[in-house]
Amino acid sequence: MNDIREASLETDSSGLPGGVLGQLLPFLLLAGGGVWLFTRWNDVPAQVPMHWDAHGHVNHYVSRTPLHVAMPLVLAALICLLVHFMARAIRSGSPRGAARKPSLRMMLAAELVIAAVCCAVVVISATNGRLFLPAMLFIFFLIMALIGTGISLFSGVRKQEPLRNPSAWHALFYSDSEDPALFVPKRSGLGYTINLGHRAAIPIVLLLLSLPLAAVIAAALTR
Amino acid sequence: MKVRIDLGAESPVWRQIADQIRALLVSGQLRPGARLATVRELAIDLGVNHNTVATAYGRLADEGFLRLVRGVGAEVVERAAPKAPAGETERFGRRLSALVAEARASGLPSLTLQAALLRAAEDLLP
Repeated sequence: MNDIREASLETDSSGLPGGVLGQLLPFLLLAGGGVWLFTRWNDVPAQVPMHWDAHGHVNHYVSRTPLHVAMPLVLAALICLLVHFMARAIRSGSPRGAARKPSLRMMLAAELVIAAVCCAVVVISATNGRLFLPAMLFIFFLIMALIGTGISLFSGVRKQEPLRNPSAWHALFYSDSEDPALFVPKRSGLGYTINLGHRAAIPIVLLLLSLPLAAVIAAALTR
Repeated sequence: MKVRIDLGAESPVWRQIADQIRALLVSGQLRPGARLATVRELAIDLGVNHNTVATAYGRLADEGFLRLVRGVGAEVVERAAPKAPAGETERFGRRLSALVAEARASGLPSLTLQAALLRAAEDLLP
Protein backbone atom coordinates (compact mmCIF):
# COMPACT_ATOMS: atom_id res chain seq x y z
CA MET A 1 0.00 0.00 0.00
CA ASN A 2 1.32 3.43 -0.93
CA ASP A 3 2.03 5.75 1.97
CA ILE A 4 1.05 9.17 0.65
CA ARG A 5 1.41 12.23 2.85
CA GLU A 6 0.56 15.87 2.35
CA ALA A 7 1.58 19.11 4.03
CA SER A 8 1.00 22.81 3.58
CA LEU A 9 3.93 24.86 2.28
CA GLU A 10 2.68 27.93 4.05
CA THR A 11 4.31 28.90 7.30
CA ASP A 12 2.23 28.98 10.47
CA SER A 13 2.80 32.08 12.57
CA SER A 14 -0.12 31.51 14.94
CA GLY A 15 0.90 31.05 18.57
CA LEU A 16 -1.01 29.60 21.49
CA PRO A 17 -4.72 30.54 21.69
CA GLY A 18 -5.56 33.78 23.43
CA GLY A 19 -2.04 35.19 23.09
CA VAL A 20 0.02 36.05 26.15
CA LEU A 21 -2.97 37.43 28.09
CA GLY A 22 -5.12 34.38 27.33
CA GLN A 23 -2.35 32.06 28.49
CA LEU A 24 -1.86 34.13 31.66
CA LEU A 25 -5.58 34.20 32.49
CA PRO A 26 -5.71 30.94 34.53
CA PHE A 27 -2.74 32.12 36.59
CA LEU A 28 -4.28 35.57 37.06
CA LEU A 29 -7.47 33.86 38.25
CA LEU A 30 -5.47 31.85 40.79
CA ALA A 31 -3.60 34.97 41.87
CA GLY A 32 -7.00 36.65 42.34
CA GLY A 33 -8.05 33.71 44.54
CA GLY A 34 -4.87 34.16 46.55
CA VAL A 35 -5.50 37.90 47.00
CA TRP A 36 -9.12 37.21 48.08
CA LEU A 37 -7.88 34.67 50.64
CA PHE A 38 -5.27 37.12 51.94
CA THR A 39 -7.86 39.89 52.44
CA ARG A 40 -10.19 37.50 54.33
CA TRP A 41 -7.52 35.68 56.30
CA ASN A 42 -8.87 36.82 59.72
CA ASP A 43 -12.29 35.29 58.90
CA VAL A 44 -10.82 31.88 58.06
CA PRO A 45 -11.73 29.40 60.87
CA ALA A 46 -8.99 27.79 62.99
CA GLN A 47 -9.97 24.36 61.65
CA VAL A 48 -10.58 24.65 57.92
CA PRO A 49 -12.93 22.15 56.28
CA MET A 50 -11.10 20.58 53.34
CA HIS A 51 -13.09 17.50 52.30
CA TRP A 52 -16.77 16.63 52.13
CA ASP A 53 -18.58 13.30 51.78
CA ALA A 54 -21.32 12.55 49.26
CA HIS A 55 -23.95 13.97 51.65
CA GLY A 56 -22.15 17.30 51.99
CA HIS A 57 -20.76 16.61 55.50
CA VAL A 58 -17.20 17.61 56.28
CA ASN A 59 -14.97 14.56 56.82
CA HIS A 60 -11.54 16.19 56.85
CA TYR A 61 -10.23 19.40 58.44
CA VAL A 62 -6.83 21.08 58.20
CA SER A 63 -5.28 23.64 60.54
CA ARG A 64 -5.26 27.29 59.44
CA THR A 65 -1.85 27.69 57.81
CA PRO A 66 -1.36 29.56 54.51
CA LEU A 67 -0.05 26.45 52.75
CA HIS A 68 -2.93 24.23 53.92
CA VAL A 69 -5.68 26.70 53.05
CA ALA A 70 -4.13 27.77 49.76
CA MET A 71 -3.15 24.22 48.76
CA PRO A 72 -5.90 23.97 46.06
CA LEU A 73 -4.52 27.16 44.47
CA VAL A 74 -0.96 25.83 44.56
CA LEU A 75 -2.02 22.48 43.06
CA ALA A 76 -4.08 24.25 40.38
CA ALA A 77 -1.10 26.47 39.49
CA LEU A 78 1.12 23.39 39.10
CA ILE A 79 -1.48 21.58 36.97
CA CYS A 80 -2.04 24.68 34.81
CA LEU A 81 1.71 25.05 34.38
CA LEU A 82 1.96 21.42 33.30
CA VAL A 83 -0.93 21.81 30.84
CA HIS A 84 0.64 25.03 29.54
CA PHE A 85 3.95 23.28 28.83
CA MET A 86 2.12 20.39 27.20
CA ALA A 87 0.32 22.92 24.97
CA ARG A 88 3.65 24.50 24.03
CA ALA A 89 5.09 21.08 23.23
CA ILE A 90 2.07 20.23 21.06
CA ARG A 91 2.31 23.63 19.34
CA SER A 92 5.92 23.07 18.34
CA GLY A 93 6.10 19.28 18.09
CA SER A 94 2.92 18.13 16.38
CA PRO A 95 1.73 18.23 12.77
CA ARG A 96 -0.36 21.22 11.69
CA GLY A 97 -3.57 19.27 11.27
CA ALA A 98 -7.24 19.93 11.94
CA ALA A 99 -6.92 18.66 15.52
CA ARG A 100 -4.26 21.13 16.66
CA LYS A 101 -6.20 24.37 17.08
CA PRO A 102 -9.20 22.80 18.88
CA SER A 103 -6.84 20.79 21.11
CA LEU A 104 -4.90 23.90 22.15
CA ARG A 105 -8.14 25.81 22.79
CA MET A 106 -9.50 22.91 24.82
CA MET A 107 -6.34 22.84 26.93
CA LEU A 108 -6.68 26.55 27.70
CA ALA A 109 -10.38 26.05 28.56
CA ALA A 110 -9.40 23.16 30.86
CA GLU A 111 -6.78 25.37 32.58
CA LEU A 112 -9.40 28.06 33.18
CA VAL A 113 -11.88 25.53 34.59
CA ILE A 114 -9.23 23.96 36.86
CA ALA A 115 -8.27 27.42 38.14
CA ALA A 116 -11.91 28.44 38.71
CA VAL A 117 -12.80 25.13 40.41
CA CYS A 118 -9.83 25.40 42.77
CA CYS A 119 -10.72 29.02 43.58
CA ALA A 120 -14.27 27.82 44.37
CA VAL A 121 -12.87 25.08 46.65
CA VAL A 122 -10.81 27.68 48.53
CA VAL A 123 -13.91 29.89 48.87
CA ILE A 124 -15.89 26.95 50.36
CA SER A 125 -13.10 26.12 52.82
CA ALA A 126 -12.36 29.70 53.84
CA THR A 127 -16.05 30.46 54.49
CA ASN A 128 -16.36 27.34 56.68
CA GLY A 129 -18.68 25.68 54.16
CA ARG A 130 -21.31 28.47 54.14
CA LEU A 131 -21.01 28.78 50.34
CA PHE A 132 -20.89 25.03 49.76
CA LEU A 133 -24.08 24.75 47.70
CA PRO A 134 -23.65 27.78 45.39
CA ALA A 135 -19.98 26.92 44.87
CA MET A 136 -20.84 23.31 43.99
CA LEU A 137 -23.46 24.56 41.53
CA PHE A 138 -20.82 26.87 40.04
CA ILE A 139 -18.39 23.95 39.72
CA PHE A 140 -21.10 21.80 38.10
CA PHE A 141 -21.86 24.60 35.64
CA LEU A 142 -18.14 24.96 34.79
CA ILE A 143 -17.73 21.25 34.11
CA MET A 144 -20.83 21.20 31.91
CA ALA A 145 -19.51 24.26 30.05
CA LEU A 146 -16.16 22.50 29.53
CA ILE A 147 -17.87 19.39 28.13
CA GLY A 148 -19.98 21.61 25.83
CA THR A 149 -16.85 23.47 24.69
CA GLY A 150 -15.13 20.16 23.91
CA ILE A 151 -18.07 18.88 21.86
CA SER A 152 -18.30 22.17 19.98
CA LEU A 153 -14.53 22.39 19.30
CA PHE A 154 -14.06 18.82 18.14
CA SER A 155 -17.21 18.36 16.06
CA GLY A 156 -16.10 17.44 12.55
CA VAL A 157 -12.38 17.23 13.40
CA ARG A 158 -12.39 13.43 13.24
CA LYS A 159 -13.31 13.43 9.57
CA GLN A 160 -10.71 16.07 8.65
CA GLU A 161 -7.70 14.48 10.35
CA PRO A 162 -6.19 11.62 8.30
CA LEU A 163 -4.71 8.65 10.18
CA ARG A 164 -0.97 9.20 10.47
CA ASN A 165 1.36 6.40 9.44
CA PRO A 166 -1.01 3.41 9.97
CA SER A 167 1.85 0.92 10.46
CA ALA A 168 3.17 2.82 13.52
CA TRP A 169 0.01 2.27 15.60
CA HIS A 170 -0.03 -0.52 18.20
CA ALA A 171 -3.52 -0.45 19.73
CA LEU A 172 -3.71 3.01 21.37
CA PHE A 173 0.01 3.67 21.16
CA TYR A 174 2.01 5.29 18.38
CA SER A 175 5.70 4.60 17.94
CA ASP A 176 7.81 5.66 14.98
CA SER A 177 11.45 6.56 15.57
CA GLU A 178 11.67 8.04 12.04
CA ASP A 179 8.83 10.47 12.73
CA PRO A 180 10.12 13.82 14.08
CA ALA A 181 6.70 14.65 15.63
CA LEU A 182 6.68 14.33 19.43
CA PHE A 183 2.88 14.39 19.52
CA VAL A 184 0.56 12.99 16.86
CA PRO A 185 -3.23 13.21 16.50
CA LYS A 186 -5.01 10.26 18.12
CA ARG A 187 -6.70 7.72 15.90
CA SER A 188 -10.03 9.18 17.01
CA GLY A 189 -8.87 12.65 15.92
CA LEU A 190 -9.74 13.94 19.40
CA GLY A 191 -6.56 15.30 20.94
CA TYR A 192 -2.99 14.06 20.77
CA THR A 193 -0.92 11.15 21.91
CA ILE A 194 2.82 10.95 22.41
CA ASN A 195 5.05 9.34 19.79
CA LEU A 196 6.80 6.71 21.92
CA GLY A 197 9.49 6.31 19.26
CA HIS A 198 10.65 9.92 19.75
CA ARG A 199 13.82 10.25 21.85
CA ALA A 200 12.13 12.75 24.21
CA ALA A 201 9.05 10.56 24.76
CA ILE A 202 10.34 8.23 27.49
CA PRO A 203 11.69 11.05 29.75
CA ILE A 204 8.35 12.89 29.35
CA VAL A 205 6.29 9.78 30.15
CA LEU A 206 8.48 9.06 33.20
CA LEU A 207 8.10 12.67 34.36
CA LEU A 208 4.32 12.52 33.99
CA LEU A 209 4.14 9.21 35.84
CA SER A 210 6.34 10.54 38.64
CA LEU A 211 4.05 13.53 39.32
CA PRO A 212 1.18 11.59 40.97
CA LEU A 213 3.80 9.63 42.94
CA ALA A 214 5.40 12.89 44.11
CA ALA A 215 1.94 14.20 45.10
CA VAL A 216 1.25 11.06 47.18
CA ILE A 217 4.66 11.31 48.89
CA ALA A 218 4.18 15.05 49.56
CA ALA A 219 0.71 14.37 51.02
CA ALA A 220 2.12 11.63 53.26
CA LEU A 221 4.96 13.87 54.47
CA THR A 222 2.67 16.83 55.32
CA ARG A 223 0.13 14.63 57.18
CA MET B 1 -0.33 25.29 -1.53
CA LYS B 2 0.55 21.76 -0.58
CA VAL B 3 3.36 19.30 -1.12
CA ARG B 4 2.53 15.64 -1.47
CA ILE B 5 4.97 12.78 -1.06
CA ASP B 6 4.74 9.06 -1.69
CA LEU B 7 7.04 7.09 0.62
CA GLY B 8 6.65 4.03 -1.60
CA ALA B 9 7.79 5.84 -4.76
CA GLU B 10 11.16 5.16 -6.37
CA SER B 11 12.15 8.82 -6.28
CA PRO B 12 13.69 9.86 -2.93
CA VAL B 13 11.48 11.99 -0.72
CA TRP B 14 13.78 15.03 -0.79
CA ARG B 15 13.61 15.00 -4.61
CA GLN B 16 9.81 14.72 -4.57
CA ILE B 17 9.64 17.76 -2.29
CA ALA B 18 12.18 19.76 -4.32
CA ASP B 19 10.48 18.88 -7.64
CA GLN B 20 7.07 20.01 -6.44
CA ILE B 21 8.32 23.27 -4.96
CA ARG B 22 10.35 23.95 -8.12
CA ALA B 23 7.21 23.39 -10.22
CA LEU B 24 5.35 25.96 -8.08
CA LEU B 25 8.27 28.37 -8.42
CA VAL B 26 8.68 28.20 -12.18
CA SER B 27 4.92 28.41 -12.73
CA GLY B 28 4.81 31.61 -10.66
CA GLN B 29 2.49 30.20 -8.02
CA LEU B 30 5.22 30.87 -5.49
CA ARG B 31 6.47 34.43 -5.95
CA PRO B 32 9.54 36.26 -4.63
CA GLY B 33 9.04 37.30 -1.01
CA ALA B 34 6.84 34.31 -0.16
CA ARG B 35 7.81 32.51 3.05
CA LEU B 36 7.80 28.72 3.03
CA ALA B 37 7.05 26.50 6.01
CA THR B 38 10.15 25.96 8.13
CA VAL B 39 12.15 22.75 7.77
CA ARG B 40 10.84 21.67 11.18
CA GLU B 41 7.18 22.38 10.32
CA LEU B 42 7.32 20.56 7.01
CA ALA B 43 9.28 17.59 8.43
CA ILE B 44 6.81 17.15 11.30
CA ASP B 45 3.77 17.51 9.02
CA LEU B 46 5.13 14.94 6.57
CA GLY B 47 6.57 12.68 9.26
CA VAL B 48 10.00 12.60 7.64
CA ASN B 49 13.48 13.39 8.92
CA HIS B 50 14.44 17.08 9.15
CA ASN B 51 17.47 16.38 6.94
CA THR B 52 15.17 15.22 4.13
CA VAL B 53 13.40 18.58 3.99
CA ALA B 54 16.65 20.47 4.60
CA THR B 55 18.21 18.69 1.60
CA ALA B 56 15.26 19.67 -0.62
CA TYR B 57 15.40 23.30 0.51
CA GLY B 58 19.19 23.29 0.18
CA ARG B 59 18.98 22.07 -3.42
CA LEU B 60 16.50 24.84 -4.29
CA ALA B 61 18.70 27.39 -2.53
CA ASP B 62 21.69 26.18 -4.61
CA GLU B 63 19.58 26.67 -7.74
CA GLY B 64 18.93 30.26 -6.66
CA PHE B 65 15.22 29.94 -5.89
CA LEU B 66 15.34 30.19 -2.09
CA ARG B 67 17.19 32.07 0.61
CA LEU B 68 17.56 30.06 3.79
CA VAL B 69 17.53 31.96 7.08
CA ARG B 70 18.41 29.99 10.20
CA GLY B 71 15.49 29.92 12.65
CA VAL B 72 13.15 31.72 10.23
CA GLY B 73 12.84 29.34 7.30
CA ALA B 74 13.02 29.71 3.56
CA GLU B 75 12.11 32.74 1.51
CA VAL B 76 11.52 32.81 -2.23
CA VAL B 77 13.95 35.20 -3.92
CA GLU B 78 14.00 36.90 -7.30
CA ARG B 79 15.98 34.70 -9.65
CA ALA B 80 17.38 35.74 -12.98
CA ALA B 81 16.70 33.02 -15.57
CA PRO B 82 20.06 31.28 -16.07
CA LYS B 83 21.47 30.80 -19.53
CA ALA B 84 20.89 27.18 -20.55
CA PRO B 85 24.21 25.35 -21.02
CA ALA B 86 25.10 24.09 -24.48
CA GLY B 87 23.38 20.84 -25.38
CA GLU B 88 20.69 21.28 -22.73
CA THR B 89 17.87 20.99 -25.28
CA GLU B 90 19.24 17.66 -26.53
CA ARG B 91 19.74 16.39 -22.99
CA PHE B 92 16.17 17.34 -22.08
CA GLY B 93 14.88 15.70 -25.25
CA ARG B 94 16.67 12.44 -24.39
CA ARG B 95 15.32 12.44 -20.81
CA LEU B 96 11.80 13.20 -22.05
CA SER B 97 12.00 10.45 -24.70
CA ALA B 98 13.07 7.95 -22.06
CA LEU B 99 10.21 9.01 -19.82
CA VAL B 100 7.66 8.79 -22.64
CA ALA B 101 8.98 5.36 -23.61
CA GLU B 102 8.68 4.19 -20.01
CA ALA B 103 5.09 5.47 -19.82
CA ARG B 104 4.17 3.82 -23.13
CA ALA B 105 5.77 0.58 -21.96
CA SER B 106 3.67 0.66 -18.81
CA GLY B 107 0.54 0.83 -20.98
CA LEU B 108 -0.41 4.51 -21.03
CA PRO B 109 -2.27 5.29 -24.31
CA SER B 110 -0.50 7.83 -26.50
CA LEU B 111 -3.45 10.25 -26.40
CA THR B 112 -3.47 10.26 -22.61
CA LEU B 113 0.27 10.77 -22.65
CA GLN B 114 0.00 13.63 -25.10
CA ALA B 115 -2.65 15.35 -22.96
CA ALA B 116 -0.52 14.87 -19.83
CA LEU B 117 2.55 16.37 -21.53
CA LEU B 118 0.57 19.38 -22.73
CA ARG B 119 -0.98 19.90 -19.30
CA ALA B 120 2.43 19.68 -17.62
CA ALA B 121 3.90 22.22 -20.04
CA GLU B 122 0.96 24.62 -19.56
CA ASP B 123 1.05 24.28 -15.76
CA LEU B 124 4.73 25.15 -15.64
CA LEU B 125 4.50 28.21 -17.88
CA PRO B 126 4.39 31.36 -15.75
